[in-house]
Amino acid sequence: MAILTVDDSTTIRRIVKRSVDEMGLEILEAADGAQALKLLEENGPSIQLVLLDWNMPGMSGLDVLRAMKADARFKDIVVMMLTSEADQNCVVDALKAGAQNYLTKPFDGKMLTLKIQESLGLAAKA
Amino acid sequence: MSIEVALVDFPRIQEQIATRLLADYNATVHPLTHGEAAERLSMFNLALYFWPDSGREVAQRLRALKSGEGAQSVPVVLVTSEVGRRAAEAVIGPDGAVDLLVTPLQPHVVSRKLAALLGVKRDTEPPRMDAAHITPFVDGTVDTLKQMAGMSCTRTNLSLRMDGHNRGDISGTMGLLGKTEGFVAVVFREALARKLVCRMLQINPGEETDEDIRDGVGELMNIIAGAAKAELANTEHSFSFSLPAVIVGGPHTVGQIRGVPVVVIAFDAEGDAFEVMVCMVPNRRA
Repeated sequence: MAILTVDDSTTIRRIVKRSVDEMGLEILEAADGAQALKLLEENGPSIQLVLLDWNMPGMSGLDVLRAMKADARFKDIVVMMLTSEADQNCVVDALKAGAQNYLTKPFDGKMLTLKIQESLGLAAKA
Repeated sequence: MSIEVALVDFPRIQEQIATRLLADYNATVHPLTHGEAAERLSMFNLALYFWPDSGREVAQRLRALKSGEGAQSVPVVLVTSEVGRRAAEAVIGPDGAVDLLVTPLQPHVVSRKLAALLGVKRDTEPPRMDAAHITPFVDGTVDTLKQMAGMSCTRTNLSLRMDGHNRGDISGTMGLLGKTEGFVAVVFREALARKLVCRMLQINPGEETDEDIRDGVGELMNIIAGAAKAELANTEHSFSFSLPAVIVGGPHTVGQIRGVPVVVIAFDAEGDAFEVMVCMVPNRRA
């Protein structure tokens, strides 16, 4: 079971990796949307959760989310937005596009772990 | 309405500042010597006469300036420093200067005086230190450092600066666009930036790389702006933002909008000072 973190910030990817490592899970990292879709193509069946930033160069997180939900191979993978876009309109847009969970930056390590566990619970039920 | 303004005897730096401020009033600026201005003062709607601190002949020089045909009706505003204020005030009156501007020139003062003298207004009034659009940046900064780095910080001061120049070592900056436009920046000294990034990454001091610092500062800026954006959504100050850019090496300028002051929010983070700079103006195209 793997978690894919998609964020153009290496700082955020390293923070996420630390939390996921502590949970004993495998982590895959992508710095942009195109790289994320490539990793999904290569590792799709093993990825249970995608943590997705919103503002990235190239494809936005919302673009990646829509691409995933439009692809039968990836549409059931649980997506949690992990973004500084805390505006309620963005939250609604992401949930409408198929995101199952949403965590806004800033966050502390405990909240991140809790939200990942919550999202994995959703993934287990899917 | 276009106004013609003579800048008389202005030193180069003061001329640049005045030109920048007056451009927002659709003014055409003419830098002139005293002699040149005295010959054709009647051609202008307004004259700003720079009076040096050490000058003693201000009354005579003013009379000479206004001696030409039609020149008496042209308002002359003296521009001087705080040191020269007293001498300049003495020649304000019916036969002298109509008013006085003290350097450094402040946009809101220039705005008020131009409105009174010529009935012109700046296209977009410069922002004041309005809590409605500054508080979200303060709160966002405090919350971001607390949650991401476990670091407490408090606001220590609030001031206005005429440009985005600063003495920091590393800045994260983002462009803002929406109902308001401008930029926001967070400015650190290198030691604090390194401390913050080490705490965020939970690594020991000295293990961080320069790239870690760049990325960490950019991400902090991104998160602070995101928090403020959410608070200001659905208000007259709402905005979207660009991806963060990071500037390394000081002193440097993070951004500037001509004639618009930058609100500088000073913070103390466990003994280290840093600043958040916010520059926002209404977007008339939105």
